[in-house]
Amino acid sequence: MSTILALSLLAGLLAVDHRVGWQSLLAQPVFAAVLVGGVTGELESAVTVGLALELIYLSILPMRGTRVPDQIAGGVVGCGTASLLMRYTGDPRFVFVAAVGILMGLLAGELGSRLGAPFHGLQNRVLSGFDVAPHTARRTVVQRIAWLHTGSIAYVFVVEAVVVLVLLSAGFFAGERFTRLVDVTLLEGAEYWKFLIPAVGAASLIHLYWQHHLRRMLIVCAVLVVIILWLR
Amino acid sequence: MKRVIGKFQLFRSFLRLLFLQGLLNRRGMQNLGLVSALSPATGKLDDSRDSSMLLKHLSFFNCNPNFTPFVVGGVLKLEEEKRAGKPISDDDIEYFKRALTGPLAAMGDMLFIGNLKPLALTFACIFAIYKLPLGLLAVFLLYNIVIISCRLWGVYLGYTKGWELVDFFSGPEFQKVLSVVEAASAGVGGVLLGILFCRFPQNGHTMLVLAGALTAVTLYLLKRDVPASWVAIILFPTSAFVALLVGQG
Repeated sequence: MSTILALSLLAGLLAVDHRVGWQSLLAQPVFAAVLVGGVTGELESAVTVGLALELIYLSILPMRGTRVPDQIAGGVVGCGTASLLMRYTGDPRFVFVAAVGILMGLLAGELGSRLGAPFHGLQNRVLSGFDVAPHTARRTVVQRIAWLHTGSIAYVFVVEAVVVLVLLSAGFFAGERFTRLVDVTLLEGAEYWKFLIPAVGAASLIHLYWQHHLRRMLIVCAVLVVIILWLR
Repeated sequence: MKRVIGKFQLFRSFLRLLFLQGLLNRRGMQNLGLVSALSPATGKLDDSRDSSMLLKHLSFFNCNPNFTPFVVGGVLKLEEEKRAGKPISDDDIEYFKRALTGPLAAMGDMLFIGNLKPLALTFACIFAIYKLPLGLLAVFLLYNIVIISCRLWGVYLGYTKGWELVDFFSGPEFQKVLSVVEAASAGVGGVLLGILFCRFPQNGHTMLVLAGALTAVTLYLLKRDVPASWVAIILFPTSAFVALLVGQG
C-alpha cells in the first residue's frame, strides 16, 4: 500500500510538471517509467511498459482543443501495475505481466482523462470567475493572483494523486486476479498482443511524419536502418 | 532612455512564466498568467498603488507557453517607453499583444508540440529500446535546456526589441529552423521505424507479417481519427480470440 501511495504522490508531482510547469518530459510514459521503476525497484518491467505506452501515445499530439488520454495516469498505472506484480507476486511470466501492465495503463489513461475532467472543469470555473474592482490596490491584486496560483498548483497535484491512487489500486487488484485466473489461451493471446503493440507504434510514427515534404526522409532513414541492422 | 526595469525583475517574470499554465482558464486563457508574470516589474513602472496597469492586461490572451515570454518582455518594454513619455497608448500595447500572440501561438505549437517534443520522445524511445539510461538522461537534459533557455532568452529579447519583435519573427529565419527540426524529426522517426521492423522477426516471421498487416490497419484507423490507444485496447480481445482459434486449430 505504501508503494501505491508513493506512486500516487509521484503522479501528483508529474501532473504539476505537465499541466502547470514547463512540461519537462518527465510526465511522458517513457521517462515516468524510470521514476516508477526507481520507486518499486523493478526498472526493467517498468521501462518495458513505459516504452510500449510511449509508442502508442506518440501519434496523439495535445494540440489545441483535442481530448487526449491522461498520459500521466496511463504511464504511472501501467508501469506501476507491471512492476508491483513482478515485485509482490514474483510471477516469472515477464512478457505476460508486461502485457497486463500495458493494458492497465491504456485503460487508466482513458479512464483518468474522464475521471479528472469534472475536477479540471471546477478549477476552470474558479479561475474564470476571477474579478476585481477597478480601483483595488495593486498589492491586493498581486496577492490574490499569487494565492490563486498556489491553490491551483496544489489542486492539480491532489486531483492527479487521488485519480492515480484509485486507478492504480484497481489496476493492481485487477491485474493480480487476472494473472491468477488466466488460462493458457488468454496467456498466449496477451503475449501475441505484447509482441504486436510496436506495430501500433510504427503506425503512429508513419502517421506523424507522413507529410509530403517529410515522407522521403522518413522512408530513407527507415530503409537505411533496416539494411544496417540486417547486415549486422 | 533610462531603463527602469532591471535584470532581476525580468528574471522574476521568467520564474513566474515557468508556471504560466497554472492559471489557465477558459474565459481569458492565459490572461491571469500574463498578469502574474508582469506583476514583478509593474511596481517599478507605476509609482501609484493603483492596479490599473495590471488590470488592463486581464483581457483574453492565449499563446504558446514557450513563446509567451517574448510577448511579456515586449509589453514591459512598451510600458517602460510609455512611462518615459513616448507617444504610446494603451491601445498600442493591446495591438502589439494581439499582433504577436496569434502568429507566435501557431509558430510555437508547430515547433515545440509538433516537432521538438516528438523528436525528443522518438530519441527517448530508441534509447529505451537499447536500454541506454545515459541516452535518456541526455535527451531529458537537452530538451529542458532548449525549453528553459527559450523562455529565459524570450523575456530578455522581448524586452530588448519591443516593437522590433514583429520584424524579428516576420523574417525567414524561423521557417529555416522549423524545416531543420522537421527534417531531423522525420529522420529520427525513420530510424525508430526501421528498428521496430527489424525486431519483429525475432518473434517469428509470422509475427512480421501480422505486424505489417496491423500497421496498415492501424494507419487506416488513425487517418479516420481513431486514437492509437483505442486501437491497442481493441487489439487485446482480438489477440485472445486469434490465440483461441490457433489453439483449437
